[in-house]
Amino acid sequence: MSFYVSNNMEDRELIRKFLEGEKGCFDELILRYQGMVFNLCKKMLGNYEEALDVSQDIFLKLYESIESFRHEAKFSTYLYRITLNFCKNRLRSLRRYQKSEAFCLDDPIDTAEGEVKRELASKDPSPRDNLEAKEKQKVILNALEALKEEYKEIIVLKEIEGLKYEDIAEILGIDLGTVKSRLSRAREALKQNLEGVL
Amino acid sequence: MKDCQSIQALFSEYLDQRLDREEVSLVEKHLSSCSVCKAELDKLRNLSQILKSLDKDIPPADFLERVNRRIKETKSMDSFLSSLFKKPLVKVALPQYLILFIVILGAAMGIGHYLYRGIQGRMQIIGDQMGDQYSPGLAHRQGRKQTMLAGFQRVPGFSRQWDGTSGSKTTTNQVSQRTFTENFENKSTPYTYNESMSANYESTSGNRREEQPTVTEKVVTINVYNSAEALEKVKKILKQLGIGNISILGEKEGEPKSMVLNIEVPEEKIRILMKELYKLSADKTKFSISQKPKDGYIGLDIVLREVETTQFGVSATMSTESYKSATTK
Repeated sequence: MSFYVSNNMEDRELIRKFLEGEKGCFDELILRYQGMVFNLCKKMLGNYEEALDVSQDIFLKLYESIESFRHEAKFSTYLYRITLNFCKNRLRSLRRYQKSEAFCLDDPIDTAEGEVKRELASKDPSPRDNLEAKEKQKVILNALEALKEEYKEIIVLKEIEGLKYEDIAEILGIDLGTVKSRLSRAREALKQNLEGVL
Repeated sequence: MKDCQSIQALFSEYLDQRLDREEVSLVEKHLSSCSVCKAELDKLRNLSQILKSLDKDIPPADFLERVNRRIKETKSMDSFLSSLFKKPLVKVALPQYLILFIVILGAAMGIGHYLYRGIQGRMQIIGDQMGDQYSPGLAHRQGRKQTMLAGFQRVPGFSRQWDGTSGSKTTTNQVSQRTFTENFENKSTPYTYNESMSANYESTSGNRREEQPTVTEKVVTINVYNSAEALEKVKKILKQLGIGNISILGEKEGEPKSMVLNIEVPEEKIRILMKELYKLSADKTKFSISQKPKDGYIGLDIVLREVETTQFGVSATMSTESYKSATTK
């Protein structure tokens, strides 16, 4: 489990106290998980402002529905699941409105002068992202963003969040074998997208 | 080549150390003899290292405040919405709700019906006070205005019939019946003041009573020595009294030296007008309108009939002419 998640009993205790009326306990939960939620949102959405907005939505939803959390799974697992669902919903709505389409980085573009290799332009020209120093990281992130949704989420969970296969299976609601095969295909797709960079 | 594909399929789990000993030894044995697969594994390992080394995106320092602000906004919106759809303080069963609803609906309908009938009754009283019927409402007045504004041209589909005997010289007040109706003829002929027209309106629907627009019209016939001079005096009187909407209808049919005016007199001015008109009459016969409306206006035709100065025994005649709607009983 990643470094964000602390003692599970403490989470349970914080939730119990919050439900008993100690509003400050919810603030503690926010402080504890804001990094994980925001980082996951940023990696999934690829846009700082969208990630910030969705992260706040997630904690707002958590505030309203934390009563329904039955402690059947770890709180962090529950929160990962909510976060990924929110990100996927936002991606769908963004696709709907921006009519952006996913494409393979290697797909050439047909022009009058023949096929031209596609070059990825950064979809997020916000000043914050421009501050990112490492050009290679930018390329990796852009390639990650261009991945299929199910590949992207499993790469983020495994490589960036460092979760175990079992946790990933629980978060995504898939069996262990599917985690293995999907992760393998996702890595292969990302490797192909970054051909020439690695 | 086939071996390479099957070995490369294990690379992901190999990197994550998810393979058992046998699989690990199989992969490592292949890698020792296949530089292509080794290069592919290096790429995957490199990719994994880059991904792990990606900077963690950190939320802004005021993230907690932002979330709490959003929570507060949502709470205030929720409380506003819940205040809009507040539960009733007293719990009432659904059948009781329905009964209450029906009672309120019935009461509203009853009040509406009562008010409607009240207005109709009020109009009936006004009509009765003017010696005639008002129905359906004051629409006739609009039609009458249009008639006057059109320079006394008949409004299309608007006919006026009058039957009376006031043309004859008489010393007594005469009441004759006028029928004032809309029969929707598509004619537009100049109006002529015709006394010999049909008196009775026959309904096309037999004995069935039909509502037709009706109006009470009054006719005041004044014997004067000089109709042109009297007309100027009447105009002056009307101007002094502030009575507008004067329509000069011209000569009365069969009486070349007469002049007919049509005016609308507010009820409060009818008495003083009668008094002033009395002064103009050659024979100084007093006249009055026996039935006065409580409110509104009276449509009044003033007939200035010229008489010879040597003609004695002729008095001014005031006759109340009632334009009645056609009703067959």
